[in-house]
Amino acid sequence: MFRPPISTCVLCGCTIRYSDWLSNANPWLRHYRGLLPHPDTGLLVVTGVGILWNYSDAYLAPWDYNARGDQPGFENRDPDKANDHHQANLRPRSEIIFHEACWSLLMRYIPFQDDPEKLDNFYHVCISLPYPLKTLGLSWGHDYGGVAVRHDKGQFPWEDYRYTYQHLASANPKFVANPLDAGTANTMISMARQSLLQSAIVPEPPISPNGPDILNQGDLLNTYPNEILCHIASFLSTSDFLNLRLASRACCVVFYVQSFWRTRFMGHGERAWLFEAAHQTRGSISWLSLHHQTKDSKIDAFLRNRKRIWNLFKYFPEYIARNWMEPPIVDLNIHFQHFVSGHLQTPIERDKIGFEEGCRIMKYRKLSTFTTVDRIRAYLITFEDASYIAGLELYFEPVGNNPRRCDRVGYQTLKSQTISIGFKLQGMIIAVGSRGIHAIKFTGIYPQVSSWLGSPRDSPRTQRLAFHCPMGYIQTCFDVRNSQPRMIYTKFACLLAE
Amino acid sequence: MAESKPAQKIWIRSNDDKTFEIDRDVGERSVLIKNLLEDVGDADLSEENAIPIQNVNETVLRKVIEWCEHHRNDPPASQDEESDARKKTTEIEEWDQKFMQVDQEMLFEIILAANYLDIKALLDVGCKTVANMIKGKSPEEIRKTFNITNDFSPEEEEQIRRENEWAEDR
Repeated sequence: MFRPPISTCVLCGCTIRYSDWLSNANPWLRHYRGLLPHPDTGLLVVTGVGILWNYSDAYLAPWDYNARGDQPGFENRDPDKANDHHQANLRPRSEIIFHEACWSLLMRYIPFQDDPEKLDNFYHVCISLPYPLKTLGLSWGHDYGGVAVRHDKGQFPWEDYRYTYQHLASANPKFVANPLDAGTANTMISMARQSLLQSAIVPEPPISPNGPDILNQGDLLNTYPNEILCHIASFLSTSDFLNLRLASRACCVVFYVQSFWRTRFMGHGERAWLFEAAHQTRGSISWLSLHHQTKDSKIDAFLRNRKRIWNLFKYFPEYIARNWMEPPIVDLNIHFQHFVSGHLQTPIERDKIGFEEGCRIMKYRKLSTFTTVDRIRAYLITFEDASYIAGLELYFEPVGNNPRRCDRVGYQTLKSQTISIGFKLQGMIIAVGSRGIHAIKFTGIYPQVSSWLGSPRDSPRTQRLAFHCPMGYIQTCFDVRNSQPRMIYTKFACLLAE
Repeated sequence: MAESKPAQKIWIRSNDDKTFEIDRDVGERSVLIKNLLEDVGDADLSEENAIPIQNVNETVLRKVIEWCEHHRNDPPASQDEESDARKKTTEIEEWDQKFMQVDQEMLFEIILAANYLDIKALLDVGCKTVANMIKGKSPEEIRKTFNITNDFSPEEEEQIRRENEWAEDR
């Protein structure tokens, strides 16, 4: 009997598969979509919904986003008719496959399906990630909220954590409850509406904003009107805010302001996973009461699974918002003497066994560095809560009558940091992790040395890789595979050399 | 080739009587000034008839103008609450981070001025800067950062702890 390899949803980490008990109780687990280039146009397509009917089905899905595998015309589930005009054959480990429900959730978190560039960035993030055999899924550097087991014994702090898939995960009610199911959400909202009608939402009278020392002149927060205090608090996590109100009487009052609690449920707030609440108008419910009812201990399995998956999307806005910066061509061939890299793998196709951790060099670019550098900006990206360098911008001091030059390479991301240099580069001190370069210091003639660019963390650092004369160029390497620079994604800058 | 039109000037006056001449588009970063300009009309604009900024002194106003000049070409602030909420991160762009490297008193004055002048983006940057000073700190560390004297009675402190527990995500 034909048995395709099992696929795991790249978003939630749970398997996409048919089983007798799943088919009745949790049909969402066998409804999937794929993201892959269309064979005719080469353009990326999010497929329609494919459905597994039995254990031996291949992952086939209609090309049309609005079509479903249970509609007439898609009965032919012969995997040999792969990638014809009607249906795509989504090969596990090769194509990007996800549950239909998880994709819908992601599109609620950050709607980018109709933005070809962002879709392309997301696709290339996915295909650049390792695919360890033991996890059955992409290695995002997290445990999918408990679906995989993290092993951190016998590893150095700068190494990637290794994960193994929990086989029981596919039967764990925590992970198989449909994340799109409203569960008790509407009941909670009704209760919050009722709560507003009752006079006391919190059991005790509010703390007075005026303490014994009304002036408390040292506390500048005291000088702010409530609206500003609320605005400051809106940028804090709830736990940071609760610490703040233990410190400052002036900020205590924010606790009783409904609009502050509303911010928790909006946009990418901590409770935004309860998207049913986003439709509620400002004064229609008690947001404080709703916040209380949606505590982790009070929500049902559906909402808990939704919350788990929603929180896995935390860095996706960073990953999809990037632009490639193509440097000018450097026609120099200097013999390399030093190089530093992350944990490099041989550049092999992702669907072949072997790319289980680290990163791969897929693209080289050179940046000429002969003249004095005025300042350098690094673009940063977060992965597994660590920051990596994704791109560099070198600003050179003007030479003669030539205007000031700025050369760029790599990826322009949402976060950046600039340091002053003021000398000719002769070397680097580099903090490196298994997935790439965390931070760099640049050195010139002794004792010229810059401050850190990036965040060195507790990763290994080189002593000093330097020359007795200015560097000819820096070579930077990225983990990419597409030949159109603007349309590709680099995982992280993974090698620098001179 | 048509010559580029010189920027139209406007005049604003701080509460300690210092008059600033600024480009109109710089001044219009402030919704308050923009609305006032619409009310006043171009004919009445002059150095002698400068727009009074009652709640802001010269030092702070100079700083606010510096920010508005740097951000003069930014797109107008979003009125879309949803997209606004989506951007509720405490990331601050590099130039703004440097701009906000001032003493606490000045930082607080800038926030108050941004609120009064209705410059939402500057208010956001200021509030994010304060939020970043609070993030990850214990109540004691927050008190130290802002020089706050603990004036809660033991009963009040106990009540706050109870309320916090009620709201914590457990």
